Amino acid sequence: MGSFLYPDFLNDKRQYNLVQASWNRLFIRLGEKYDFKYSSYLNPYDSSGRKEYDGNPIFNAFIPKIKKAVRIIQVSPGENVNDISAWIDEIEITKSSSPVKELVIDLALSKETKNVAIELIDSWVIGQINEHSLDLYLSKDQPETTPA
Amino acid sequence: MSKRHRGRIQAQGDGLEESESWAQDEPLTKKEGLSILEKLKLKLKKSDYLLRKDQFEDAKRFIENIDGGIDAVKKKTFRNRKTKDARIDIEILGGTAFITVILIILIYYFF
Repeated sequence: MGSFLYPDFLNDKRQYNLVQASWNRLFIRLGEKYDFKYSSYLNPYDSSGRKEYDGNPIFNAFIPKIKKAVRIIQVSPGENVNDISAWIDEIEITKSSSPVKELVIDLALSKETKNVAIELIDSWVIGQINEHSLDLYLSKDQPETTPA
Repeated sequence: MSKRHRGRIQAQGDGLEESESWAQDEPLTKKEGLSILEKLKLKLKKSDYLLRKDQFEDAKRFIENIDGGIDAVKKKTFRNRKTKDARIDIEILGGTAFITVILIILIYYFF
């Protein structure tokens, strides 16, 4: 059985910053691998100008070269170390540009879900997943997904 | 010309795609935001609403707890974790949203 990573990240700002930095490092490595730059496209602050620590999202990146975005939502660990879902949405990043496709990953972070997320992001960046194949991809890794 | 303050609230996933949007010259107030959320709720079939009942509550709490409005670009997602992707999304795409009426009056008089 696996274990959760940074389990207290919503109550401990140090853990929160560490996990956020780990997502950032993942993107730096991907940027080097596939030769792209990225930037955050969402406002990370609350109305008082303080950084939000709610994990919704914990990380976001827009990659201009491929006109794609990634948003990662991280929640507190529950029972399931395979608690991960993903879907493709659209986001209008600037008023003047057309909406871009956004891979959204919603997870409780464990070694297992982190590996799935990394594979998903890698495949998204190189164009190997779309709306249809994403479902197949997740069902391969998530056979126990509970119906409503 | 497009309006400065824009956004939408969506009920998505599990085969559903419904939304209510705003585009206006003044920042959206909390009251207007809650009203948009309510309009979206009323658009849904009962089964689609029930699948997102708790997420509507989460979205409502999110709007109610904002103190002083928030600026674009902002996107918050509230997913029913028993499903793959049934969710409520709040998107602030331009300007500011969910401010209190008092703040609008202050902005009007002092700026």
